[in-house]
Amino acid sequence: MFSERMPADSGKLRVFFDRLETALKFGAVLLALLMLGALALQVFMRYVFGQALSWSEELTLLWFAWLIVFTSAVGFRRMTHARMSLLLDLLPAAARRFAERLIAVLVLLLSAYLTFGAWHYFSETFDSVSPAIGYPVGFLYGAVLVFGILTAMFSIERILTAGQGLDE
Amino acid sequence: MSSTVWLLTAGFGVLILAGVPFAFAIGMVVAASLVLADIDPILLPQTFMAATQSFSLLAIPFFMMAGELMSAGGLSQRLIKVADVFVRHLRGGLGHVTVLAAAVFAAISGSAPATTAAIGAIMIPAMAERGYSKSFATALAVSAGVLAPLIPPSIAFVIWGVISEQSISRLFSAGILPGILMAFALMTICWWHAKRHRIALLPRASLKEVWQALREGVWALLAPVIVLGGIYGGIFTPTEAAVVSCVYALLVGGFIERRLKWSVVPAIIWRSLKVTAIVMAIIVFSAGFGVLIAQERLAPELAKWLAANIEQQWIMLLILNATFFVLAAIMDEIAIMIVFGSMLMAIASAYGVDPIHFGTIIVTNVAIGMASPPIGYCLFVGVAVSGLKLGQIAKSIWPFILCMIAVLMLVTYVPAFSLALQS
Repeated sequence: MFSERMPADSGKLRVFFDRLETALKFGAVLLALLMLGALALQVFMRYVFGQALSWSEELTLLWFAWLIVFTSAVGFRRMTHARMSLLLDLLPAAARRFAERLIAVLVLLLSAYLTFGAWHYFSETFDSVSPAIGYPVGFLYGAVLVFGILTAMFSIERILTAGQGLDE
Repeated sequence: MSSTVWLLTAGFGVLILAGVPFAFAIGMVVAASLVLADIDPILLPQTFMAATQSFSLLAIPFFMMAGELMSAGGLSQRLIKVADVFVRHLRGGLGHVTVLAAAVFAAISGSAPATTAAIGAIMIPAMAERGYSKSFATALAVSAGVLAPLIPPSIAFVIWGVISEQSISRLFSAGILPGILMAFALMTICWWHAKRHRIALLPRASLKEVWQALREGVWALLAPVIVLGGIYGGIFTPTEAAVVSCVYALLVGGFIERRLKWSVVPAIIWRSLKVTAIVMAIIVFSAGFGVLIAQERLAPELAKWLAANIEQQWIMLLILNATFFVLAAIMDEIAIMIVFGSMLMAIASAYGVDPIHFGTIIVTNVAIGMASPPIGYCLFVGVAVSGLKLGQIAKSIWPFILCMIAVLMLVTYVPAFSLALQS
């Protein structure tokens, strides 16, 4: 379902990143289905049995955070995030590649900063638990840490490739 | 101005013109401001995570998904058939069919690009076959798609409700009359176009045809009844309505009509998640932006300055609408709404504009921006669906945009359009 056409000269790095992307997509779809199931159950239980579930909202929001992380990271790799590319489109090919690399460098810096902050956030709050279910909130706050790491990895790939063969 | 203010304005402008995705550009200026002001770097991940924990925003992926699942299950085709038997014989008939079908689809999906794709894929070739130019048909599908932000449920209203802390259900009902007004405006253009180009009238549908279309379309027509009835009947929240809508699409498409292939469901879900990511990435990074704006007291300062210099409310609203339109030429509409949310709210309260009325003005602007060249999101969907170039569609879309601006003026200056249905 998620097979991507791979260029003939794809190196090991490309294969690795493609596999990572497939795993993230698979994870995101799985999370979406879990969320759909939990919320459908919530409506059903309340409407049919008059019983409110205590766990469904909190758990769905936990999954939602991870879903945003997975999908946004892949969106950056494939450059499907909204952007204004009118000026970029005017550039000759070589300048365009340079600009794409520059953007990837900026995103790498942002990811490094985010990862640094997220690590502190993660380690400082790990021991607390969530209000309803009582899961360690590290499971939630770890999501932004993973986002930082993923976008850092994808930006390195985009610096190396200038986004060639990646943009959708 | 402080260095933070410069970063937030000029720095941000440079980044987006250079082609940095909006979400990351916002993240960059926030990060840079935090570094300069020597604020704990924990703020960015903290606001990032806080923004994900909103039950209302959960509606976004599911309203996207509902639209995609319904078109894959053939429900959009059924809706078009129903609209077809009722209005095709009128002048500009197929145009009216497009608008009506899009309006009903919008009452299920809430996403403008999804609506343009679902209705356009069928109606653009059908209209081209009946003598309409392909560029007109595409411009119409793009314009009809942007009924979705206005007609409830609407993703744009969900986001605005979260930003402005207003009731999402109340915002939803505020969009109904402007949505209907917009639909009539679009139909007027279809009538005028068909008259000018002498497009042949189609025969009126027989009673048998009407009956058949209704019988086949009953499941599709029930969908908006369940979604809106559920929200307004107090049975479920907008987020739950989105979930119910997805389950309904899966049940009807997969088991009752059996036109939805289970094997394509994961790909459909991924497609809607991809679009969700675009919106959510902007939201999570903007949360930090909001904190900085609050810290610099930019919103109240701006509102105070404006109130001192521009006395009349009507002039302020005019300037606001014009600014939004210009900004939408370089920036994603949803991003404008999110990034400038707190400033917009400060302006509304400084000038005494009812928050629900104001939300409708903002979302009408969002709708127009989505259809407007050069970077309206629905235009790109129009390009993908029709195979035309953006420039070709842009040429045909101007009458529609002008009409939408007229609707915006009515929405702005006649509060009753937004407030009449508030109970």
